[in-house]
Formats: sequence, structure tokens, C-alpha cells
Amino acid sequence: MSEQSHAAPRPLLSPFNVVAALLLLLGGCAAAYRFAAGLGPSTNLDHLNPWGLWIGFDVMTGVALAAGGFTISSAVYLFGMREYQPLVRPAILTGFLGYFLVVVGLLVDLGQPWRLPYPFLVQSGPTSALFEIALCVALYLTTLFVEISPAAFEWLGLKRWRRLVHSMTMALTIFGLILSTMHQSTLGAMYLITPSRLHPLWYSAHIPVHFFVSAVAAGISMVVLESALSHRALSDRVEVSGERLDEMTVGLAKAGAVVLGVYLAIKVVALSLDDEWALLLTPYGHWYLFELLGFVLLPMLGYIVGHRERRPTLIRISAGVTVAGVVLNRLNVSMFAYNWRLPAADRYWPHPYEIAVSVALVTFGVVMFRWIASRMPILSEHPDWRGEH
Amino acid sequence: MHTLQEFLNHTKGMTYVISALLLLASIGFWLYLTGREGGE
Repeated sequence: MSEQSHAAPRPLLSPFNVVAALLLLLGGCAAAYRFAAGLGPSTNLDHLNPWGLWIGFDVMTGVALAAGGFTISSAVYLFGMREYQPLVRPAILTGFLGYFLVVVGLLVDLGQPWRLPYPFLVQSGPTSALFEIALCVALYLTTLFVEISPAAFEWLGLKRWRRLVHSMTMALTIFGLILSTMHQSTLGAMYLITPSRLHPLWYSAHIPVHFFVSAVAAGISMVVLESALSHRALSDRVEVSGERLDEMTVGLAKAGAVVLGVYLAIKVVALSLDDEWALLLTPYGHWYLFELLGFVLLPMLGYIVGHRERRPTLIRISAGVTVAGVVLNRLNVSMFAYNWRLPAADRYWPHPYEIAVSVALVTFGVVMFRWIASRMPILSEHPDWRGEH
Repeated sequence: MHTLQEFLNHTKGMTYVISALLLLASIGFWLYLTGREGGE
């Protein structure tokens, strides 16, 4: 194993570990109760609201926030932006863990989780949007696993396997990009059949495009955030200097500004195409404007000023706001603006057990990232493979 | 009294105007975003 594993050990009872263990314990107990008692007692899901937090947050948001993997690997390997190479492995690892947790979240959410492979083995239903998502997520999770495996092979000293997988990098990147384009947009396409349930401000014939473009913005912003956080939390493992990271952050801000600009433009065009201007004056309209102006326009301006003035801190704040905005958008589409005509008593609000499981899944992702990045060459290059990425 | 055709004409007309304005704005957006890159 590499010298990475010989870095100074961290104390087991650190504040991070204690808080993470508590959250994981709470979530684990909630998940155990869900499997013991069933979905009825452990969730607020019912026939009016069959999809709740585990779909709206764990799946819809999780997939969007894991988009950094295909965004950065496409930029580096397909568009030749080699200066962002140090960000590829952390982004792919984040993507892999994100998709892995999506599947774990699905297992908790499905009434009969052992039927997860049914779309592939028993009843494919190839005309269903859900089938496409299931197929793409399964294939992309496998692709991400193969893409991140060279880090494990370097760590384990398996040079032949590392060479073999590395030779497939370009094919894997193209395959990952195709799969991501398909399922990121299809997550939005699922809502095309809900014109009477989803509020008209969020419903659009172009919602698949909205989902895809916002996922790219989320992916770029997640890379900005995750690189800054790992630079701070795992400083002894990071090879890239603070100045170089700032340079890359300023470059990513340009991409972030353009993508958010495109997203804002297509949202305005969608408003105009459906002639929904009058709805902006309603309470839901104010909420919509809060989402669009506060979490799209504002971070876009932050990215623009951050790129022009070369201010990495402002860019990181904008990235955080963008990520929060994508979370809010997915929750709006799947929960807050969904079933909006129902009386308040019938509306869905997540059960504490649902929240506990979702928090535990996010915590598990952070813990796993930290564990892997502390041991494998994720944030730095392995001495035997320097410059060979 | 308005017909559906008039409604569609109005909506599409508005969208064309907005799209044209957005395309024009994108030029200013790009010039402002990259305005200081040459001096680096």
C-alpha cells in the first residue's frame, strides 16, 4: 500500500467522529424500524403522497449533486482542460458515493426492496421513464466504480489492473456523459405526466432540460465546495497548493456563471411560453421568485464578480448558494409545489424517521469520502504514477 | 372576445422578443464576464 496510509493517524474520538457516529446511529435505528414496521408507521407517505423525502432529497437531489463527476471528467478528458486534472478524482469519488447512496436510499424507500432488480430481470417496461432512470443509474454507478478503481489499484499496488482500467478512461468518460445526460433529464421528464399535480410555475414541457442544466450547475458548484472543504479538512493529504486551488476555483466560476445564466434564461423563456406571468403575483409565485432570484440570479452574479475580481471566497459562497438552490428546486418539484391543490391536512411533510435516515445517508457519504481520501490517492498523486492520469 | 389563435400569437410573440433580448444580453454577459481576462 502507498505512503498515503502511513500519514499521521487521527484521534478516534474527534468531535467529527462523535457527531457522525450519533447521526449514523439515529439513522440506522430509524431504518431498522422502517424495515421492521413497514413504510406506514415509519413515514408520512400515503396514497396521495407516495413519494416523499427519500425520493425528493435522496434520489432527485442526490443525483443532481453527484453530477460533478461527469462534468469535470468531461471537461478534462473530452474538452482537454487539463488544468483541472487534480479535481477529477475527488469529483468522481463524490459522484460514486452520491449514486451509491441514491441506491441505498431507494432500498429504504421501496416497499419491496428485494424487487430492485425487477426492471432488468423480470419486467423491463422500456417505454417507462423510470426504467430509463433505473438502467442509467445502475450503469452509471458501475461506470463510476470502474472510473475510481485506479485509485484503489494504486493504493493496493495492483499495477496491471491500474493500467488496464486507465486505458479505458476516454471510453468511460464518454459513456458516463451519455448516461448522465439521459437520466439527469429523465428525472425531470418523470414529472411530464403531472400537469394537474405540479404547480404550473414549476411544471413545464421543458422540465427535462431544466433538470439537466441545473444538474450541471450543481455539479460544478459541488466540485468548488468539495475541493475547498477537502483542502481544509484533509490538508495533510492535499497536494495542490492553495494558490493553484484558487486558480481552478476562479476558472470554475466562469463555467458556473455561464451555466446559471443559461438556466435562468430557459426558465424565463418557459415562463413566457406558458404565459405564467400573472402567477408570479400569488404566494407560490413569491416562493418561485425566491428560488429563482435568490438561488439562481444571486449566485450567478456572485460567480461573475468572483471570476472578474478573482475572489475565491465569494465563488465558494456562490457555490454553496447554488447547491442549496438545486436542493430547494428538487424539493419544490417533488414536495412543496407538488399536490399543491390538496388541503393543508392532506399535504406531505417528512416524518422525523425519514429525516433521520436522509441525514444519516449524507453523513455516511461524508465519512466514506473522508475515509477513502485519507488512504487512497484521491487528493494527491501516487508517487509511482505521477503525471500519468 | 379573443380567439385561441390570438392568445398563441401573443404568447409566442412575447417569447420571441424575450429570446431575442436574452441573446443580445448574452453578448454583454460574456464580454463582462471575460472583460478582465486579457490583462492577466
